[in-house]
Amino acid sequence: MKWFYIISIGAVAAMALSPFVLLPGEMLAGLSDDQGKTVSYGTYAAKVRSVDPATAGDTMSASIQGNVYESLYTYHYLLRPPTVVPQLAQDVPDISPDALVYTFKIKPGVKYHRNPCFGVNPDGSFKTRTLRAEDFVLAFKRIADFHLPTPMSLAFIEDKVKGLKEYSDRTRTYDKGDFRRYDEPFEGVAAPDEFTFQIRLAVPFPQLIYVLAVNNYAPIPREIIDYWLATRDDGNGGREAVPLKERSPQISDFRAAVGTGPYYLSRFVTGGDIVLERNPDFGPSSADPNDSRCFYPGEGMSEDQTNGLLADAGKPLPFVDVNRLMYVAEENPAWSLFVGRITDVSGIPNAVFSQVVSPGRELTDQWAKMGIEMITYTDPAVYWYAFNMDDPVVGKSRSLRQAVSLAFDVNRYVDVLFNGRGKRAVNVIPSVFPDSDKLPASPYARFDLPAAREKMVQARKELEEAGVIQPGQALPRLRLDLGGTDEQERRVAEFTKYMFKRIGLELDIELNDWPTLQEKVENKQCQIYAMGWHADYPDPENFLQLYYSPNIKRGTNNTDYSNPAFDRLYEQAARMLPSPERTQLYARLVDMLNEDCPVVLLTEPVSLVLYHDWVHNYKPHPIGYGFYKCRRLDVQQRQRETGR
Amino acid sequence: MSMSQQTPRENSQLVAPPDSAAPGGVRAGQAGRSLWGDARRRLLRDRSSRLCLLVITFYALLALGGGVYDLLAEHDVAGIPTFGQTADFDQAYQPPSWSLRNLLGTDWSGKSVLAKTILGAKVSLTVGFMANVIAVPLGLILGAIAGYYGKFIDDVIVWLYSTLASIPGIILLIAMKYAFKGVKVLGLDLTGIHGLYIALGIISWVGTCRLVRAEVMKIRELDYVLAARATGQNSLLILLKHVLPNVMHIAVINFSLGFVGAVASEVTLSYLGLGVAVGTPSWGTMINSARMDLFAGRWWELTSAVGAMFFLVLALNIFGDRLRDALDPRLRTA
Amino acid sequence: MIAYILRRLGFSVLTILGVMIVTFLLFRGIAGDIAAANLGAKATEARKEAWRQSYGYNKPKWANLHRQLLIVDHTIGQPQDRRPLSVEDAGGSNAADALALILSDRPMPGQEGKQGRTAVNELMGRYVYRLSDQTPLWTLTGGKPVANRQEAESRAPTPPASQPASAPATATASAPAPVASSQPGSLPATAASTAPITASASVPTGAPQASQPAITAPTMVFSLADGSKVMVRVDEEIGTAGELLRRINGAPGNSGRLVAAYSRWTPMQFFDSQFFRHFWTSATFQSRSLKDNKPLTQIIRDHAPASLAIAVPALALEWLLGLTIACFVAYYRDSTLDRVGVLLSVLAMCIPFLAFMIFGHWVVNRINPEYAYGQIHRINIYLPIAISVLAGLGGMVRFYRTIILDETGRDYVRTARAKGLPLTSILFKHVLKNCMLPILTSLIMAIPFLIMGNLLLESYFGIPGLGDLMITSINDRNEPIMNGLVFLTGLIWTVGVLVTDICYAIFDPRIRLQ
Repeated sequence: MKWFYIISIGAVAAMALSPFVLLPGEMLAGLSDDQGKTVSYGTYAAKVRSVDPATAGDTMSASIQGNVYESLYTYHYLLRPPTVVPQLAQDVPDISPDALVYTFKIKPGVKYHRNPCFGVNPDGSFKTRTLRAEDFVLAFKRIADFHLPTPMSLAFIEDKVKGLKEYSDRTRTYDKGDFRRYDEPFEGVAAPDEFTFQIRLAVPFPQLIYVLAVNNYAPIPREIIDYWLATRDDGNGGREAVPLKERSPQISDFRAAVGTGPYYLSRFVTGGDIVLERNPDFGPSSADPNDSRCFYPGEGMSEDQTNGLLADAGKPLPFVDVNRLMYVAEENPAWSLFVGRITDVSGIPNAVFSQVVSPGRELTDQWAKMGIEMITYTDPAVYWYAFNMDDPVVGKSRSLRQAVSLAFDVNRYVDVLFNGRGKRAVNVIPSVFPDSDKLPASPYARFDLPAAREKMVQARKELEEAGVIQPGQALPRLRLDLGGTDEQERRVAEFTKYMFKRIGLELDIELNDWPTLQEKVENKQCQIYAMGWHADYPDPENFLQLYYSPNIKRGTNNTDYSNPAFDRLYEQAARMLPSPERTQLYARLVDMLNEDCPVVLLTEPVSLVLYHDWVHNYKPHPIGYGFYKCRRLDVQQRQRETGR
Repeated sequence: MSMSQQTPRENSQLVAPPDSAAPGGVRAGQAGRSLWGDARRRLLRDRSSRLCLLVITFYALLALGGGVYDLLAEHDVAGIPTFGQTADFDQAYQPPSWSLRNLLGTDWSGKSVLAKTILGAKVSLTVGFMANVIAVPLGLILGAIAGYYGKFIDDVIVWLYSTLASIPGIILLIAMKYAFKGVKVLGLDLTGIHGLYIALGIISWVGTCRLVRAEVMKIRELDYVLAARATGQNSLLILLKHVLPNVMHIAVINFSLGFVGAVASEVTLSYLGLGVAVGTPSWGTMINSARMDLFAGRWWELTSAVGAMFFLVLALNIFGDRLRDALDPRLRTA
Repeated sequence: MIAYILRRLGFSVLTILGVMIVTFLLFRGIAGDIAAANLGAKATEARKEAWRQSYGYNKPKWANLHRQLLIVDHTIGQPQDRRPLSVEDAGGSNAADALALILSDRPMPGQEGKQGRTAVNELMGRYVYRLSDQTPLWTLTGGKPVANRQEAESRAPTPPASQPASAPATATASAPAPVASSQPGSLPATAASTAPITASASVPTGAPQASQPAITAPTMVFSLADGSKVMVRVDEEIGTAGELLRRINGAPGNSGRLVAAYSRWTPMQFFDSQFFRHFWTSATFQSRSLKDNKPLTQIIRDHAPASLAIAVPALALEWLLGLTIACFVAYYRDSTLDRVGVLLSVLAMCIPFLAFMIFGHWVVNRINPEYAYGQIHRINIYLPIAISVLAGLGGMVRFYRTIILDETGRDYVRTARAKGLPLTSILFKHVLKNCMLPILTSLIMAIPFLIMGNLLLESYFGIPGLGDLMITSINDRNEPIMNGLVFLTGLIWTVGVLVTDICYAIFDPRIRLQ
């Protein structure tokens, strides 16, 4: 019996210590491994869904991919409003007189990451090769590939690039794993020679340059397909062919994420660590020693000069050798890591907001003394409650929509629910866009309860006339669908219910997770729903296209707003290059939307970001991604302050 | 039944040796000393169970009051505002003070935490009651049928509850709540509280069924029951007259145990966002919102919800224990 | 004995089958449109259908007693020409989408088993129960309209039917010459249709949506293996499957190359359904994630250690602590210590688990936030472990105490006491030994749920374990993983119960003889 006790105590002790065996090593253990290297630590809260540029559709994937892949164009790090500058293209493209053919000259000598797909040297290191124009052709072919889910990348160029639908239909005839379809011709893209890339459009598309600044169109070397997708590890150190039926056309292995960017993925665990390490070949080639993408920008805004963001002008990039990102889904622990001086940058959780930020939107002294600095910026995004314009109740009564807009106290909404981190949206275009001051503010985008009540009386009349309700009958209950199920969303729901009730509208609210909401919106099952739009590029057309009726079928116009006068003007404006005339047209379009009120405008989000004083050159970019390379850490200072 | 772990209680039946001591029903013949009469006397004599009964009644009254308030407010009687309308954003996050409204402080929207706690009692008691009203009779009937008729029907019912028992309860609940989204049955919207107690009822009958079945299998072999069967009496009558009364005590005990489990499940599910509908105050949603607030030093909502739940569960647990002791002498320790 | 084991084994198999049925029912119920959840709601119906076909979600739910509309390409010449038959839309209809014709991966008639993977040249429509000539068209199209004439007309641009029939006005470069809508049949089935027209797709400059074809009638264009195309008008005149069949077979330019027929139903097809597929992949653990195609086994391997890292120490420590405290308390029966101990256990049992979790986190966060969350340091895991132990301790102590006291109430203990043996040695030598069986039983019953981990703890503390995976796969609608995990739990539980019962039967003859 004694043995029993001894054994059981021993077993318990062993089991109690098992985590040290079961769990992976210390996340911060890499500190000692990274001797001599500059390491930046950060956290991320949303899982990265894709390492394949063609299929990326969420901001988290885009923010990681932006550092690994590069595209023809990108945005200037410092200039605002966001300005497009060449990245892999040498300069602005040659545009044919009919504005249908764009010719790009590719920078010569740009090297990809070293990767086994290019071959292995005798000493075991991986080879690389230089970028070629045909890699862009392959990138576009993959985006048009029927077998790849590329909704976002495709949405920009569908109907615009010539021959895209034909190519897509032709790829459908191939099996998912049959990559010979990438040898089929695609009329819209061509590589006349090694460093020339051409895009042929079916219709003029002035926003093409902006679209090419999105990372989804990064070049893909054919070797990735042939090595990583068509073959796999055979377990003995070699490669074996993957049977056709088992092949997937999507890049899902992080080692296959081969780009030309300043960093490559050396470790990637979904829902775990992500490590980006410096690409040793990133730098100007001998053919192009002044390659602007490899050096810190020399020009910026006047406040950049005062804030010291131009001190590193002309220096070679990247500064940081290793970026370690940990997955921390909750904001409080992420905050704790920042306060504990482990991570460099952080947002501010709602719970501690009032401790950290004074009512005047400044950092409180206590925090400034800790060597923390704050930066504020407005996102080029607008959030709203959208009406389903085909709905018999809300679609039929303009006064009802206007009444709701007047009754919703957006400033209170921002104060109570977001700690004031938002700007009241006055029309559907973000106020940070250039020339936004020339666009009219909506007369209904203000809080005016008496006016709202008057509008409600009118709304009743309109609904009675339309036969939706009988005179004297109560207004039907309305339905609102939100996209989130957490506590914050619940509060938003309660707040909204309260607001609607004040003008006599009963609201039933349903909290959905994001895929369900998308489905419901797509199937027109919503009456009112919460939605927003983040600018893809700094042109108001990006927001106006949400109300263009042919886009209903295409899926971007979810409100089903259909106004022939709007469509005509939109088509006119969409083909014009930026000019005062175009801005006037935009103003008329915005005016129409202001009156028709297809959405209840809410906020433009304002972000407050904190960073430690050993972080230099930090300036969040509202649209572009891939600027980890510009950040510099003062390692000695961090060592002094934290002992790391 | 309960959420985080299987209740150890269910296994205690494996411990008790099979014995032929008849349950109290046999002594029914003796004047004034029926099982129920005995039990009632024992319970009322015990001070702690009297106290617990008082506490439970108090909560029930609170719940009833909350229900009446909701009903009145819904129909705009006497201008009583619905709870959602009592929001006062200027008074958000007030700590507890000596006014009736702010006795326990206010939440993020300025609503009274005291009122929220009382209305939360309504939710918890409704869920606890309704879930068990579904689960216990279901378990009783199925267990009795399985135990009495045996053979094939017994195999089917045992198979059914074994299957249900092998899937983790919380998964079943989450899946069912997802499946119930937007579904309307008999005019009830299953997305919120109604779906919650129906789902809980559907999966909680297993414990009762097991115990009842074991008991009925024993009762079936007792002399007087054998006699009734031998004389060809209708089996349904036998079930109703002889079997069911003798397993009622199991049903009652499991009702009180299940009540606790249901209350805890509601809290967990509301925390996961799958519980009551938006705008309905419940202890679970209060605890959920306290997650963020505690770090800012706002402790009163969490404490109110946990405290209210604690006392209710404590009273139910102690009362359930005393009830079990009073009704099932076999499980009393020597 | 053997009979008993066999009986229990058979019963366990039936239970596992029951688990499969329940998981199938439940998760199909919550999935919603699983293709939309995985591809995005905006994906075209054709893409969604192709996705469903590749993952088997287009098959009938329970048993396959259905037939399909089959369209076979008879132009296939050389087997090495492996381009499969396809259909595209022309004319602004959603004909192809609506019929949701999908590529088949069955070997072509006559080529079965010839080379590992044969040329595909069949198109199959939706599975339809009792497909015959009278089956209304809407069952084939899943209720979606085949022809949307109004929309097709509204999208037709300025080049109307009056355009000369010979000039190709469309960007669909390889389409044959357009047809004025008044002449349905006269398509020039000439050699010109095989040559891709590259140059003359003259887009009228200034027209915004210039890729409008002049064909306004809803049309499907089939691309055959020899490169030629057959166009089939699908409009409101077609109301049944039979009429569609005849329209396809009699399409101008077809001349027997494209043959539409109903598939034959063979008895083996019965098992080609979603349920049997679910059954088979669950039973053989072949499920693969819908998101990144990783096998379930690998995912479990990746996530299980994290769950076990909480569950195993928690179980061990809870057992040890619970037993120690219970022994202690039972020893001092009915003394103040006992009463206080029991009271504390009851109090602990009444505190909701969430309260332990939130409060525990808060406490450690005040002390040092670095150790309060996730896997930053390995030692952080002891916080969730501690919470788990503390939350369960109350119930454990009460349970063990009851068992111990039951045992100490036995005759032999009374005899031993009367004989003068000290209670301590009775406790350790005899009582605990006899208590071990029920205690270990309860431990073994808890083991299956170890793997699943504590859902709440994992999601709150950011531990990437199986419980957390369960929640995320429900949210992501990653149905194979959900089913796989639940099936695994059910399997382990059932096996655990079976093993326990058999052990009992071996050690306790009374049970066997029941």
